[in-house]
Amino acid sequence: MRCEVEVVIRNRLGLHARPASRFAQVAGGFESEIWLMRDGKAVDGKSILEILTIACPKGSVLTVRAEGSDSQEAVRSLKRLVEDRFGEID
Amino acid sequence: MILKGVSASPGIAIGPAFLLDSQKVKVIRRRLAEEELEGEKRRFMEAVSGAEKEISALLNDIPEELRDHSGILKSHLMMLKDPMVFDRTLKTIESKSINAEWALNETLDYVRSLFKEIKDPYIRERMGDIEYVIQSVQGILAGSPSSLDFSSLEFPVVLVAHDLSPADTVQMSREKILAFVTEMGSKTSHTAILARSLGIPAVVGLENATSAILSGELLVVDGLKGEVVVDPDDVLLKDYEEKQQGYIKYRLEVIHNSNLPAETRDGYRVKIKANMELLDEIPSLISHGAEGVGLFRTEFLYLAQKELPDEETLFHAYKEVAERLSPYPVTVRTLDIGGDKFVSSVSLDEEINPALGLRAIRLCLKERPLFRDQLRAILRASAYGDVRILFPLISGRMEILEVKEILEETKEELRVEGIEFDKDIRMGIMIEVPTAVLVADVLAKEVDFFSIGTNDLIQYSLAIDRINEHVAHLYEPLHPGVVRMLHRTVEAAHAAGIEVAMCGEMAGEPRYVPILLGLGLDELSMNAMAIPKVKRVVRRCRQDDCAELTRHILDSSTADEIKQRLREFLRDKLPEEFDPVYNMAVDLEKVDSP
Repeated sequence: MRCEVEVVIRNRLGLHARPASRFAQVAGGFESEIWLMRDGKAVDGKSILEILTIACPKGSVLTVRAEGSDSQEAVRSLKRLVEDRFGEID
Repeated sequence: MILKGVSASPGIAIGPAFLLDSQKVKVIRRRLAEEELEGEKRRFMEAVSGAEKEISALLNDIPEELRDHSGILKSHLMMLKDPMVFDRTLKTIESKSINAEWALNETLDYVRSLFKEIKDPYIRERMGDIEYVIQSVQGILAGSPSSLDFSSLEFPVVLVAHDLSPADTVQMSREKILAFVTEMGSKTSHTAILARSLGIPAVVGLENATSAILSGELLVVDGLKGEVVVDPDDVLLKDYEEKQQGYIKYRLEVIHNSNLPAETRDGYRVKIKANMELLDEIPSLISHGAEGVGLFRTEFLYLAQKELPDEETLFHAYKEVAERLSPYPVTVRTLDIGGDKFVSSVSLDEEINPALGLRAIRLCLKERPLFRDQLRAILRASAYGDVRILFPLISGRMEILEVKEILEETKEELRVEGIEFDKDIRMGIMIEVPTAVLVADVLAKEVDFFSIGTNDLIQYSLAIDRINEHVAHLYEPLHPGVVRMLHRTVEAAHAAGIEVAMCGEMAGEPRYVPILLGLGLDELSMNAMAIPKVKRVVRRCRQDDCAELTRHILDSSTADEIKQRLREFLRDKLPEEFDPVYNMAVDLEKVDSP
């Protein structure tokens, strides 16, 4: 099953090194394949390095796409992570 | 021979060079037969787990002083298993039927090509970490230990290498490694950060270091200036030994004295605080013994980006400062921009005389939304620590009344919105316009404290533009007119029962301390580096001696006469404080603040 959701980067420094590693960690916990997409470019959501290549500032809109058995749950968790500012106090 | 590099970690070390072979593993390409593929993939996976084990072992034994930086090694663990490195290399082995080393090299080239395109310089710099990680796997594949072992060194050395990884640096002990010199690296690389935490002097970015230096040669590493002297002659060596002693003495001073109270021998207590601009300065100002921040310059957030920072951005920054300094107070100065500085989002007309133009409080009173956003942010942060507000460039009572009205309106807004703030927040003004000195008695009734900004006060009083080289020599903090203005300000403040601080450069000059104590200042706020020395001078002085000195100084008719009196005082009362070696160490320390 395939799921997709738009998320807005809310933390002050944007999608930077630490948030990228948090995202990859959480994404890595799911069976589904996960992509993070911005401006038509899609990267592997389980790879901190790929996420870093689409580093973007606060306010950017990205799409999280998951495909697999737990895709719904994955998308929901990742959306929450991004919107909670990746757990940064900020 | 003197080689110039980049100072990465302060201090001076003298010792024999120890060259590390840049064991760049030579990678050859080998085509594999079908039946070799599974074995090769397994070999690669085992090498990765070997590298993981090495990093985990380092993490387990990480020295106390580096614990804050363990995130660096943890990120290396993630990179090892990142799909872009791990999965990709496995796929390459399979699809191209090539050996693990070559596949890993292709991975490295690929990651490099992607990172080259990244605009953010901080993220681009993380490429260095990826290189280290991949190198460590290459080392294991080649059967050589990928990280260094310093325990076999028989005597302490200066390490000279093409490059050192954070993993290498973590293992250095101060007993074995006196300093290190590398060809790669920058002041902000992870290796440099670790060296500073370990207190190991380091010079990086020194091209050709491994070819210009031979193992066993005597080296002087000057981590303060970023220089390395190879095979120094006796005269030079003696100079550096003195410099080293001066620096050690200074460091001990920082450690021993920084947390003692700044109290004169006869019990006069003066608060010593730090001036700061960036959040990273907080650990250093605390370790230098600051009792809070006497001047938090807030221009940085406005200059750092094209658009004006919004209230939330400001609030988060101020809150962090308030929380990290708590229970110490922080005095936040509202925007002091205009003049030589410039905000890109507020269009200002070009001014012929910016120092006398639309700047600081004048700009804020004209650009109300800008001012309100900042006031709201400061007030909101005051719920999280001891925050005080300081308004710059006040010239008379009307300005204060206007500022206070806006401040009260802003507080009311927050009250209505139910947002917390310190209802008794203290507000003060900078005394830096000469008319403010003349009406200080009037102003003192309106505010909770004064803070004298000597740089501008001197420039405005003497009509000297310090940037103009033809008149800069006339800039004179000890002009009798300046000293009398300081005196008048302190008298007016104390008559009204409020405290008076000084936050200009004059406050951080150890030689002026006796005069400042004699004048009766309650607080001195300065560059953190100056604190240990100023505290030490305060602790050696008697306030009654200083008061007598100041009486004579107020009667003096020229700056030369004042200086002569001050010199005599320092010679008679504090002979041990102003010897050249010691002062050199203090000057040197300034180099290490970026």
